[in-house]
Amino acid sequence: MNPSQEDPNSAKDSLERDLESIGELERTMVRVEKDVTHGPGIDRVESTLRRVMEESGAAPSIRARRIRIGWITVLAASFLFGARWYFGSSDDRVHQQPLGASVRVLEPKAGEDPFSRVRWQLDSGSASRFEVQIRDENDRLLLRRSVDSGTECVFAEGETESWPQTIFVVVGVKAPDGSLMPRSAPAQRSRR
Amino acid sequence: MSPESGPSESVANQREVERRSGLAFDVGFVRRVLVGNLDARREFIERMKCVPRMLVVRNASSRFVLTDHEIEDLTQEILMTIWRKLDTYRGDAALETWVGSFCHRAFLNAAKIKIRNSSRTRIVDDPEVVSPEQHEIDRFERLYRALDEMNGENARIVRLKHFDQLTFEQIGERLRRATSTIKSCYYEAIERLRTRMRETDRGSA
Repeated sequence: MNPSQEDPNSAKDSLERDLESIGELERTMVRVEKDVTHGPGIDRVESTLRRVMEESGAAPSIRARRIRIGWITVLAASFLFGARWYFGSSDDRVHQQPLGASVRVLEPKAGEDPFSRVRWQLDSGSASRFEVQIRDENDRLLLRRSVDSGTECVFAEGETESWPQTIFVVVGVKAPDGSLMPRSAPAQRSRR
Repeated sequence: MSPESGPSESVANQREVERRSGLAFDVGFVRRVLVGNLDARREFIERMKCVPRMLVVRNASSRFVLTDHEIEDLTQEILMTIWRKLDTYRGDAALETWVGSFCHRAFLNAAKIKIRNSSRTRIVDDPEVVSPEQHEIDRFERLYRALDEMNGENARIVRLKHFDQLTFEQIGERLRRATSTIKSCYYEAIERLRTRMRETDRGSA
């Protein structure tokens, strides 16, 4: 039966039953999660959290430690480059980690449907794997799409029709382990 | 506690004291994590391994609607949300319970998108036929959204009542308000939720 056809008393029961069910599901998840010893995603917790912690800025004690480590790294790097220069090197390949990249969502072209295509640009660093996320005004994820080459993503009409009038596009750079960092600022798009 | 109170009441009081001290610990713990205490952050990472584990549990109860790869991606998504909102943790529930709520709603959202996209590409004899899981996922997701749209205090009372199973008296004590006020806020919230759900029922019909 459609809940909208229920009488007020049974509707109240149904609503409260749903709330009870959600509560029960949440409690069950919390109660039995410790029984799960392995599974997808567990290995990724540490790397993801360490990255977000680093990105969000660290406390003074960590900053001081990083400055010390930074100086040691600079000295070690100078020594190594000096040694490379002195002894010569055949490998001058520069590998930039995606973590150093900065990505920006570009505006749609004139006359183009703002929902049909997303383009972006790397302002610094290098990366080839990206992830496009479409979010609503409440930051709720509506769609996620991986792009393993190129800097644009095209959506089919059927995919975009359920999106609200206003969406936010976020493009993230994917690290080799598949985790997502860093991200572009959210770009607002409104349906024409 | 009055001298006449029985042993069961004293056990309940003892549990409440333990629960509160646990919550106070978690509030302090989160504060240490946020200011960058290294030990706290290390422990936080360990405790947050509950996120994928909860998703695995929830996914199993929905007949594995999400793949392992999707669970991995969702884990990452939830961890970032948790980190962004960690400063809003108030100790209404244990940290894992608070995190569980994020996991559940993110799971519902992801499952809803997955089901919607897969039904679009599948040839269905009757598009009006909706599976019980799909119907439940859709209803719960809308209910979470309706709670989000509601006044913060009223939504908090509904959550404490149904998700944390507190009595009106315990909620009153927690929020330092009279039980009668809590009750009237609760019924007002339920009425609003019911209205909102009816509106969205009509919208999705």
